[in-house]
Amino acid sequence: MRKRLLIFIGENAVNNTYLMSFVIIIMTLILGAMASRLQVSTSFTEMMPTGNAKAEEFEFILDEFNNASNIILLAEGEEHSLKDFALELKPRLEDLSHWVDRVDINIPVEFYQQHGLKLLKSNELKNFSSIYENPSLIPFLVNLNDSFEKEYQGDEALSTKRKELDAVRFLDGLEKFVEVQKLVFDGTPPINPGKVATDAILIGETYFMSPDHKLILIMIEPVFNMVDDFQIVTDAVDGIEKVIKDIALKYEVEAGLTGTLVLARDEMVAVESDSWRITTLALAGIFILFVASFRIWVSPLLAITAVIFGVIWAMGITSILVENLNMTTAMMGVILVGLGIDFSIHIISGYTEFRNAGTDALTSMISALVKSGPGIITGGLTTALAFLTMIISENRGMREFGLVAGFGIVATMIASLIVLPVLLALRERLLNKFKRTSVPKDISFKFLADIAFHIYNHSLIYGFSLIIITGIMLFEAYQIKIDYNYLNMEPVGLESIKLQDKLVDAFDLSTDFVVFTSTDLDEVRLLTEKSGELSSVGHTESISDYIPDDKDSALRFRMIRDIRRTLLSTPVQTSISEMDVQQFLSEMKRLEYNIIELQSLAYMGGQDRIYEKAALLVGVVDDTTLTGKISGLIESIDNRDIKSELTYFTNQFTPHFRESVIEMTNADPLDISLLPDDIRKRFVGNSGETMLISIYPKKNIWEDAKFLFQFTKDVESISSKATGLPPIYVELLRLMAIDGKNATMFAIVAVFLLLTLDFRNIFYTLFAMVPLIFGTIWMVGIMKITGLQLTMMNIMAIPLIIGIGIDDGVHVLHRYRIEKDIRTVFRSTGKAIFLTSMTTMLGFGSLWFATYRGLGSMGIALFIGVGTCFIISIVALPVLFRVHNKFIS
Amino acid sequence: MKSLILSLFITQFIFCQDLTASAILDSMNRVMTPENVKSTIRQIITTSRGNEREFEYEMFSGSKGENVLLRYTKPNVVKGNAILMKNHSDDIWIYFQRTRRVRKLASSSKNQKVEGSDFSYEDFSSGDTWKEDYDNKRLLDEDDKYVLELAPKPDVSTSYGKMIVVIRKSDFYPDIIRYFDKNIVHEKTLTMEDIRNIEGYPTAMKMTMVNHLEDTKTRMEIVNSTYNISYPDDYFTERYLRE
Repeated sequence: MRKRLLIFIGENAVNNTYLMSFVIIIMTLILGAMASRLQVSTSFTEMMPTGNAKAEEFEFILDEFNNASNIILLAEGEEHSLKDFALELKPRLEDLSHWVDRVDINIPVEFYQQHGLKLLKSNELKNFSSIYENPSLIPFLVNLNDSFEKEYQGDEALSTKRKELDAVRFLDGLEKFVEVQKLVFDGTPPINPGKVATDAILIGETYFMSPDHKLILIMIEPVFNMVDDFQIVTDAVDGIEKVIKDIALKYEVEAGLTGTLVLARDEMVAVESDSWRITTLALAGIFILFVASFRIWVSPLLAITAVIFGVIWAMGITSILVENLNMTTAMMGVILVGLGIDFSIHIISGYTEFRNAGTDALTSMISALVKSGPGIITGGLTTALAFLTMIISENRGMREFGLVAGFGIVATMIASLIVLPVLLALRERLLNKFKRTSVPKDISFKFLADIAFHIYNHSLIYGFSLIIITGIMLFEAYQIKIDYNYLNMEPVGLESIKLQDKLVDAFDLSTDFVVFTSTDLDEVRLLTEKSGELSSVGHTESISDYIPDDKDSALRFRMIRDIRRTLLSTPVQTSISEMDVQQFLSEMKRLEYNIIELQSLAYMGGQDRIYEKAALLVGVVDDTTLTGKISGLIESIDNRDIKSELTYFTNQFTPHFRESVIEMTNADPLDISLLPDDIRKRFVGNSGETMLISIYPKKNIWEDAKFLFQFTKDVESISSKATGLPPIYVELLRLMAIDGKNATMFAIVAVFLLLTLDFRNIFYTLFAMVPLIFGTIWMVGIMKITGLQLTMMNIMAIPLIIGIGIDDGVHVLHRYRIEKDIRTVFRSTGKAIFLTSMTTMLGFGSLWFATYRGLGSMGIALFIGVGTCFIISIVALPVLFRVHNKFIS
Repeated sequence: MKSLILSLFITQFIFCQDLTASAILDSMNRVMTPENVKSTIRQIITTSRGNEREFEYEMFSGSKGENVLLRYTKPNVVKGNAILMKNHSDDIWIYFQRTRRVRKLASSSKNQKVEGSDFSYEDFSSGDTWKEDYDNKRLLDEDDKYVLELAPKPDVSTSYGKMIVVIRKSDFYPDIIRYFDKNIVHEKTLTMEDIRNIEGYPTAMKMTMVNHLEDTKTRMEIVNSTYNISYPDDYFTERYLRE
């Protein structure tokens, strides 16, 4: 049946070339039209199983809240330039309303001015209330120092990252407060010094500045997210970046973008820019190989044309099987080209061999198809079956990939068997038309036949050596290490990745975080508190940061009321005596001591950020060149007459401080409905009922997969609804590990059954599988020996090699069944599998030059794997034939 | 001969079985809490940015661990700073060399970490209070080691819900202490290594406290140690702290 079909194709290709061409073109047009409807989706959630709770929750959150996927801008420069840059940038970006929903450059200042005190807990109010009770400058300093010197709570008070950051923020305000005083005493006061100093103390820095004030952070909330069409994301990120770079140039600051959306854009740009270079490199190699092997200039063109037809057919069929292509199914085209070329090589190899032996076109075509066809069909079907076993996968990405690649390979195989003979026949007709005839020449690979025959005759030594080497490789393979740093797969030098590190160092923020929702404010508060206790968590954001806790509201209300009463009844100091000047100096020295002690505790406690921030105020022990700002101020005013400047500053500071505290101690209620839009939109969903909790990891999750797993596990322990990129990615890896293992086992079993059905001989089946199994062991072993590690990308090479590596054995066994002669098999089919292996290795090997290193790691693994499967075919199969002939036959 | 060996083995077995948890704890306390100790200790902590920081300090312990004074000698940033823990860490003071001021810590600090390390103040100063503060129970032996479980008595101020102490039969010196929090979750493990006999007392030259919940670790190495020391009466006082 199979033979009759192949003869039918061969006869019609040669005798009815134009009719066959017409039928092929019509079929291709129909399937091409169907293929054009396919869309690509790059969303992670598209890869998850249908109905997966995490994926559904994440998509719900993306719909409800804009800030679930944001773009982060980091700019570096002088403090005033950074702030001016941010002020100009905000309206310019918000004008791009088709891309940008909101730009946050600072904290909601007005909100803090009105409600700042209400957000403090009762114990915090108890500790700090005295600071607010007397607005006059010198009594304020006395109260501030008293508050510092209350019985220490130990380093635990600063031990959590949140508290450490709060302390840094307070020191930041103190730094500004001291700076204003210095300007006043130097005779160059800023505009409204009292207000600036008051805001510094009561609110702190309003912009999102790094502790050293050299970096500013700006959050851009886009109107699109990661599930949108990829082109929209790329265009928008490019557009936003252009505006930013233009304005940055004006203010002489260095600005760049990061975040998941930006990284996704960068990855795609890298892959696209790589693809041309890599494709050209691979095609050039394949072209040289074809011409040198077949001595036909147009042979690569014919092979590629047949493959292109095959891919169009495959895509057309895919449009019936799936709604759209996801990140894995989008790779199908590359795989089909790689495997389709192999089918073509077998046909061209057989055909040219017969033609060069002097047989006519029709006989050559039929002989080539009859001798290579069964191998192509079995090889194609085993590969397809290996991929089709993936449809048992739970994760949608792998399931669809298996389905699409399986049917795609069958389509490409059929296209190769039908289209290529027609193209070869067309070439013959053209040659005849121009009366050009080719001179017969021997183009078979005699050296392969010699090698195989030599091994056949020395099978004992080669067989033994093979087992020993495989044992060593297995030992090495077991010791291969896994690279848990996801960033090692990214292109080198990406700005968005460098900025991720800066973001963690300066702001303790990660671009990716866990989110979950609740409709109950008490639950939000509880989960926010619980997450703060987790060791892997940096900090948590939720609406509860802006809504006071009802638990001790009465107590807090009384305390705030008392502060207000005391403040209103305290007389305000307007004149400064000589004694006051001395007291001011003494309080400033006391403040310096308090900060030195805080700094010392921070050093002993390992709180680097507090230590570094305090160093800006009081210097450091070992560095005499660094004078702290408080120390500098004291030095500059000691032994100087500052009475008039101090009077001026007191009269500027005191009324502002008094008014601000009166405003802060208002009795207005504070609930969600009264929150400013900026805050509400960040934490309350579009429906008005759902509230968002965002939990940031304490370090970059992509640098250490073990930490990623720990962080995800920790957060899931407080809420099973936790979602976002980290949990989805972990879930995907888990599913891929289970599915990958199952699919690999099923693929091996399915391939075994199919080969048994095809060969109807258990020994031939086992022989055909030896190159695959030994080749895979060698692949991992060589990777370990050459210092390569398993990555999340190249681990996919293991199931892929099962589909690809089986072909060599299948073709050799099929030809051996027909010829029963080692020399003929390896001279002809050996050549074909050498060429198919070389083209596949060239294709995958060229990925090594990809700037996207994940692709490179997969390419090099497959390069090694295809090579080892070929070497084992050449070495092991002659040994097995000898064993079979001697002991079994 | 065979029967002699067998009878010796049985005697040893019976003897080991007979020791009660209290007796083992008493023996452990005898070797663990000498009257006075002076040691030079090197300590390595992990900072909030994930860097390692090394300190060296002298530790003076008196009255069987009731009073402990730590005086930092390295690095320069903290050289001269000192921590005084009295009454089994119920009272804690810190002295800052740069400002020459002494500050008192709140009594609640007892259960908190000692400056950046995974040791709490109570880990330093437990002394012989385990017998009074904890109910003890003997668990199944691990090879040549006794295993005791200590559960805090009601009204005892401690951050631990349980401790499991693994004690060497040869010298009653503990080489592993597992700390469990109030919810009986395994929080920390203290491992003592390189145990040497110094002036008749077994002494762990290396100690590592691993915090399993926070995935952090503090290493301590004893540079030198002596038990032949006596302190003046006012040694463990706030006034002496400044000197």
